Amino acid sequence: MEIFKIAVTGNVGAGKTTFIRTISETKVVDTERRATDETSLLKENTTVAFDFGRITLNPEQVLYMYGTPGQSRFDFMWEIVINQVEAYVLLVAAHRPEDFRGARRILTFINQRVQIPMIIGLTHTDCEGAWQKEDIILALGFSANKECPPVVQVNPENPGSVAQSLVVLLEELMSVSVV
Amino acid sequence: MAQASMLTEVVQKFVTATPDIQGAALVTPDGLSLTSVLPGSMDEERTSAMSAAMLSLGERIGQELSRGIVDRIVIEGEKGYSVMVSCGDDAVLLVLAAKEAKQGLLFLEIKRILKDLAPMVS
Amino acid sequence: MAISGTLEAFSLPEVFQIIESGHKSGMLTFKSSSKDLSIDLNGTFELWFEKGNFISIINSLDYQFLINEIIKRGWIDARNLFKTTQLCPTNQALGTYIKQQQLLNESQIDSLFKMQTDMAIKLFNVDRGWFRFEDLEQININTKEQKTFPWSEMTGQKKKATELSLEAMRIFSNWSRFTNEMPAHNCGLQRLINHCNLHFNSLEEYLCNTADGSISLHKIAQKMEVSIERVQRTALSMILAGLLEEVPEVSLNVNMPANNTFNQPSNFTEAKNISVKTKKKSKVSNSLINNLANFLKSNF
Ligand SMILES: Nc1nc2c(ncn2[C@@H]2O[C@H](COP(=O)(O)OP(=O)(O)O)[C@@H](O)[C@H]2O)c(=O)[nH]1
Ligand SMILES: [Mg+2]
Repeated sequence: MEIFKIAVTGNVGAGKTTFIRTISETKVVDTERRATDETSLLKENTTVAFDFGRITLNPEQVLYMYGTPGQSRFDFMWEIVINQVEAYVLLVAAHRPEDFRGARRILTFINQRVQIPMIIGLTHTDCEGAWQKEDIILALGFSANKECPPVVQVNPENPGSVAQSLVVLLEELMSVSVV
Repeated sequence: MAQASMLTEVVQKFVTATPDIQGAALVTPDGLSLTSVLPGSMDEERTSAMSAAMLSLGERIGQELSRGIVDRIVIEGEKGYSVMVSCGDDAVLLVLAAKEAKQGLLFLEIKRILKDLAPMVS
Repeated sequence: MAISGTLEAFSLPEVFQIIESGHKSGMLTFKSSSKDLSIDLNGTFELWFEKGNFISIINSLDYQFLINEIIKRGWIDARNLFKTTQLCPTNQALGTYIKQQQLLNESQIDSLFKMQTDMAIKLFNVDRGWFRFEDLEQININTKEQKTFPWSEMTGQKKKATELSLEAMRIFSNWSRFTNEMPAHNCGLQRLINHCNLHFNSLEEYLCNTADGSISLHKIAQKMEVSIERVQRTALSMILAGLLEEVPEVSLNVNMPANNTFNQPSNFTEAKNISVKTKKKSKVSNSLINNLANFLKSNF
């Protein structure tokens, strides 16, 4: 059996759990607990270990998806998850500029440990106050001087949109493997 | 929920009064510290987040593998034990014990302290 | 669309970082709603940037700041100055023209620009307020009015947005605003950019040079014999400016990939190549990837 593992990471409320739930074939194994920190202003529950979802392609091939917790106090989980996977999606809520630096921090954290193909998925682009893609990229620390990975808009609640973003991740994976 | 100082007092007393217990932390199910008495080298924030993650994962495994309600998660290392237990619905208790601790006695002590703590955190 | 938000959500150094790294030209509107009366900044401010450089600031309550200042200082009399402004070409900074006409010398222009940068620096202490950055090109597309740079409010001098932001943060005092963002004593720093032409002070220089994630702020404070608070604050200023990133202590014993490109005076193309090469070659089979792509395309 060949297993392809990817991670879905990002700040609290970016849409990681929703993303995995939307596309997983099985009921997602989640480890959500009631939020008691500032997360509770955003939503009721928060992931504390990881989310897990799966897509079985055939008896021999399967995709595993791991969602991480968002808060930096769980960075040990980021580390555990990221060392298991072949590629990852970083989700960023486009309407919460206060979270951009947190996303940049996750990115730096991961880059320090592994160099694997990744894409950035912008969520909540339908929400009021959403920033433009170009400006979010700058806030994440990419510019003319620093190569930016592929950036896609994704609505984690929409299966078609999630599937499309995963296709982009696969393309990125292919393009990197060829080098 | 009881005042933090009262929780601290109970946890502190538990750690100092029980032989072979080296530290304890009471944390929220989403991994924030409520109170802790830990050896100096340990980072309270990380320890709290880890305990919550471990317990939630353990409970998921218990459920997935039809083991019923999970009493506790025990990590037995060459230098001692870490035990994670639910403390009511609103907290998780982490206890660190020395290798010399008698397991049965340890679990009993933990059950006892839970009786005191659970009503205080709900 | 514009970049906009509240200062509570997004700080001024972060806005400046985006303007600089995006080489943006346009106008940053800034309105303080601070209840702190010690910061007297009434009215709306317009900060102007050209290709990521700060070039001018205008307060809505004090238009013609530059002209008034020159008159106030008695450098050029009002009538003469008025005539000069009339003669100044429409797309030339007033300061540049006045200098060309030899009505003011270089150091006088410098001191006028210094007043403008000082005013901008004052804004960094505001903890509550609202901002909006509009790209000059986009203003013109959206409003069809041909808005241009405020030539009559410009000295012709410029300063990198990040440079200004670092200067502002060196004399910043309102640190309680950043309590939650302060990097921890035991964290390390990682450099985000390969090189920059900024003027650092000695501590900034040190932080930048040692930023490979392997030395904690606490140790830096000991080594440099400065307070840990000062190290934290300087580190945060540089983090907000997009130069450094806080990395947790756990990384200190992790095997780091061999891409410490910043130790060499590298150029960017070189750095890019390295990052591609060190990317882990995927172990996934092409067959799985193709099957998954087909599955995703046909089932959703
Ligand atoms: N409007 C909108 N809501 C979204 C989007 N993505 C996620 N959400 C919602 O945001 C909330 C937080 O999502 P969740 O998956 O729990 O975030 P996590 O913390 O990253 O796991 C949920 O209520 C989602 O339904 C989006 O693109 N647009
Ligand atoms: Mg989640």
